[in-house]
Amino acid sequence: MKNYKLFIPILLIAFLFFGCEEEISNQMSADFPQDYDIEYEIRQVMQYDPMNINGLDISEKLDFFSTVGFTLHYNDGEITSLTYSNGDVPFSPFGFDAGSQIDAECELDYDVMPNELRIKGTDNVVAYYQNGEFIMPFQLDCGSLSYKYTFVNID
Amino acid sequence: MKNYSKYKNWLIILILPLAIVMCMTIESITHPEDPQVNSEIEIGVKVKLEPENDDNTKMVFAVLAPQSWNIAENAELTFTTTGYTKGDVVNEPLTLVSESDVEPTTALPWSAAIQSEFGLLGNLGPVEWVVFESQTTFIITDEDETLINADVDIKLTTGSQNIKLFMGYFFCGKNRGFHEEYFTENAKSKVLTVTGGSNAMIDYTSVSLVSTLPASYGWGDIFSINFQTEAGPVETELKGADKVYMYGKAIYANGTDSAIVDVISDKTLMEKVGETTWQKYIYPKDFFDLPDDAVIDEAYFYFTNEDKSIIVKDPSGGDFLITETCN
Repeated sequence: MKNYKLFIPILLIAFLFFGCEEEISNQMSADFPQDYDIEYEIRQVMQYDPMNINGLDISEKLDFFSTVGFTLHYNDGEITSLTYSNGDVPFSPFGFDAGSQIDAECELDYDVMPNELRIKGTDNVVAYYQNGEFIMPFQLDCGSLSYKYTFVNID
Repeated sequence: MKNYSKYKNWLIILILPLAIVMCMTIESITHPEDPQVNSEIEIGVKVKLEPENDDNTKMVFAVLAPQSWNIAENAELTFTTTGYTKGDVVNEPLTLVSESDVEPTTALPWSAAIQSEFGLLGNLGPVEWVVFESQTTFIITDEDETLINADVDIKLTTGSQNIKLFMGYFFCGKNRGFHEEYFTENAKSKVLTVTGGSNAMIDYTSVSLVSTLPASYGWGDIFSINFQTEAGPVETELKGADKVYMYGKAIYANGTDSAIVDVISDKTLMEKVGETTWQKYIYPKDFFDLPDDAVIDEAYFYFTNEDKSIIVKDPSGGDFLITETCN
């Protein structure tokens, strides 16, 4: 009897949740956009040093990190180009010559792990796609220090 | 009598674990009198082993030193034993333990295992355990060996910067590692202060009024200036302040030019990150508004409250000096 007392409220609560659920169709709508842009902003800037091997997030420590971002442009549902803005950041995270802005055709290489977002026709890797986020590892001056941007899409 | 016999067995069981633990001690550490930067120094460490268990083992000997010294590459270690009944070794070189070798109880590489067991012995800057081993495998039989002494001689080259740290030392048998019956916690350290360089003393041994995070950085890196309003016996007038601001001056172009940041604004406002700790992250060329090709030589800082009625400088009266610490 005791068990039923517990069971009935649980069942009722479960029904309440079912009541909230909307039906989701797995059929893509005919008017679902195939050409679209996704914008990304910095979620985290990690700094790694020998005393902090798990890294410290310094994204909130310097205002200029909030000005970095990029946009991926999709055509027919595939990434075709990139617009990257270094914002007010006074250094570049790239190991290749890049100005404060990149506008270039690009491709996401799924054949390598982690997936590489490369400028088309070059070996220049802009970012790595990992666990649903884009990451950019880089170094600045001292060899014992390393950094990593993590970008998330802006909803 | 039967009762006595029962108690005797219990007594043996209780005493046994105490009796069978190896006794390993570092007896003394001898540092040079006045070690200088960029010079070879010689360190002596006397160790003692009182065997209680049979074992066939090499000796592992580890040194905790600044990473920037890279002693894995530039140190030479030898050791000499006395009291080993099967033939003492004389000036035998200790060689680096292979990176693939692991400490048997933790299955970690030796350096990581020692750091996990002993930490960094109080050092606040980047130091590393570098692990060496003997060539000789010692055949330890409890009946034969009562006391083995070893003198370890370490020759290494200091780095280019003034530094104060806890130099650390440790030894054990390689075969059993940290196995409780073959090992006693015997890591020891001694302060070593190296002088003669042009930089402000880098002190890994204590919290100072001003430090950086990370401890090692280049002028082209991001790092924070950390200011303690109180450190040890020193209490500054900014203790308890609502806001703390940072004045900065960079010397560049081989000392021929300078840039000063002397404003009360968000640019110089420090973040309170602890009861007495304030922090300001900077990217130096951006903070000092220097051209990309500027080469910074050194930077000076001091700290103020909002109306500048309180200014905290180095206890010697000058500004706090920060120099590049990346090697």
